[in-house]
Amino acid sequence: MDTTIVLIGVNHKTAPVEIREKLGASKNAEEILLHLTQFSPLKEILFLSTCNRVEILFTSRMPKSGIEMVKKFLAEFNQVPLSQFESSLYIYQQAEAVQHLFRVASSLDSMVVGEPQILGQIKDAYRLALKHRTAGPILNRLLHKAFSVAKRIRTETKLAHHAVSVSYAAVEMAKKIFGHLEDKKILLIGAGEMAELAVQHLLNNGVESITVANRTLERAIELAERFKGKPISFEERIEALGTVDIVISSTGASHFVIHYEDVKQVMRKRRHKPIFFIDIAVPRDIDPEINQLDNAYVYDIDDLQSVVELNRAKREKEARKAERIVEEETIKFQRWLETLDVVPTIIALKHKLEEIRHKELNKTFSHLKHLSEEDKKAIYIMTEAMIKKILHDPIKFLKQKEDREKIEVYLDITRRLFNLDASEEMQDRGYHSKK
Amino acid sequence: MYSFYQLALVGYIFSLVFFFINLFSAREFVRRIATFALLGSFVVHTVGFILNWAQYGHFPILGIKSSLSFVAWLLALIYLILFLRFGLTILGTFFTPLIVLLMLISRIVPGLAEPPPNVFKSFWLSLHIGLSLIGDGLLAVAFCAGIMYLVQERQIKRKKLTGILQRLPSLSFLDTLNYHALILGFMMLTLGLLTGALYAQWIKGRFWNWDPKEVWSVITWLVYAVLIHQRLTVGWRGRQAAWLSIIGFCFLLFTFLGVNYLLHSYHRFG
Repeated sequence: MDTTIVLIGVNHKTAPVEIREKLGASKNAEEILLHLTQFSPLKEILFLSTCNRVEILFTSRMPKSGIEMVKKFLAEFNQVPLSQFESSLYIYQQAEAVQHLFRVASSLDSMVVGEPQILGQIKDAYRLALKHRTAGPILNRLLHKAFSVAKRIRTETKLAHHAVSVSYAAVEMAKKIFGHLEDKKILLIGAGEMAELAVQHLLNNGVESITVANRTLERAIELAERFKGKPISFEERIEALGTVDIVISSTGASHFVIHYEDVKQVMRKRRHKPIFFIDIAVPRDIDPEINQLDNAYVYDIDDLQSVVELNRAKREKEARKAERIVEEETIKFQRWLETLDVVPTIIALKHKLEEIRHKELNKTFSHLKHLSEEDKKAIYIMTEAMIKKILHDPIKFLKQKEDREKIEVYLDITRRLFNLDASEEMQDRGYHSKK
Repeated sequence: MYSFYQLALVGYIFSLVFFFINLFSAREFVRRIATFALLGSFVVHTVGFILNWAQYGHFPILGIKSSLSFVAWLLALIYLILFLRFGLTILGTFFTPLIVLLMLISRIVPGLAEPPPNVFKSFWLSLHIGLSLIGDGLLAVAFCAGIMYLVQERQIKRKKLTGILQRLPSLSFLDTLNYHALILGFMMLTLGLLTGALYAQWIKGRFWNWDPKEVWSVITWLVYAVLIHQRLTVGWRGRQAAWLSIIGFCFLLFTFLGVNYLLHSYHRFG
């Protein structure tokens, strides 16, 4: 088999953000993909670009020149000298490329391992490839397989269950208290990167509204605009406790900004509805004594950090399980790839028809007991000849096209027409029709 | 029939063991075994009931043995419904001990298997007992939810994040389950008391006979009434509600079992 699967890319581990952003902003993904189709050595192409990675996946009969062209294109198109990023590039071929894609799709290669967004981003990239017809039989199958590997890992391991950043941990604890967050209201006191990240995660989980309190009302208004929330003055924060469910506090104050008595009084007004305080500030903003009140929960940064630590250990265990699944599926894919060649396909085709012939002969002979050995032999030879004649043209066709560009398409159609691959693997094709 | 009950008991115990294994090492096949064991036992249990029904000609809940067994059956049913609706196998760890306990008591307690004197063949009596038992079953669910709530709340408050925390449902789910089980259970209990009083009026000519079971039933009813009142008006919820539903259930158990054996009551079975 001469067609090679190649993956070239940079990710958050190999390249700093300055390089990643130069190499591919997701805005012009379509443009880049169209440029790539101009290069004749590249047959099937997928272009994936997220904030943590830029990857080009392609198949080629001339992988070497393909790789060089892509490198040169990246440098020219983005106007960055190749020398600046060449050392950050990773280039994988065949099984390694397959394995890498499976790892990326199942979020094993992500900055936050287990985060689910990446799969959606790959699906978008694939949709783009479908739109411009740059995905052929190999990439189609590879991508579908990648989606099913990601799904398998999601159901068989708990990779995604273990939040490993403070802000994720905060969301996880909120879910332990409230179940779902859809109708919850949050109050953000102060500002700060980690607090804003936590707010963003909560918003992604569908919280209903956000109120922002800040010492300077101007800053409150600015933050509120960003999160589409409501600004209030710092003094109104205690009053706001009556209606919100989650409080994230991150001020630079040197003393508590919410005291035990404040919350104790407000709980009656809240009809004892649970309230969750996330204290990200150091020194702390929320009196830890509040945790003693019924239906009030206080987690400070250290508490959240211990959730993270606990999750990290668990996640590593789950990641090992996931890596095993990736390896397993890579081997399976490799096996399929090997069959996507003229000779194995012809053998499989012959084998399939021979099998049918034998089965049917046995059935017929067991009914027609009166046939003599000679008759049987004649029928035997006749069916053999039939099969040969039937196969003659298709085999000739495949052999003729062996060196053509489109041979994978013909092989793929042949294999599907006669159902030569295990039926288990055919199920993965559902993605096409659902789209 | 009793072989059916025994088989169901064995199945429930089997399921209980696997639900506890699941607590310490969560694996899909362990959960599957536990759930299927419970489902199988439930089916066997149901068959036992139907055969009993056919034999006695009335719904078999009049003897203490069969009424305990009926409550266990109800709990298994409620668990299966919750499982289908929410897919939470962890609830099984809290339901199965109660189911097994009820089945065991039902086997051990003295008392005729199913006394069919004529007085018991009344529709009203069956209704009285049936409603009360359904109420008991639902309040047992509230009890389970209360215990789970306290376990989960303790872990969240103490910030001790063991594996169980990861798998117990959220506080809000447990509190809601407690609330719904409580409201429904209380309604059933109330209807049970009312039909009992009507039946007493009809048979004895008096609504109220100062029978220990009646007195204790009303006390239990009052405990639950206070809880519901506090929930609805003051907004008691969470830990307080969980504790009160546990206390209420202790009263319920005493009324159900204690009164029969410790105090003299015409309510005693058989």
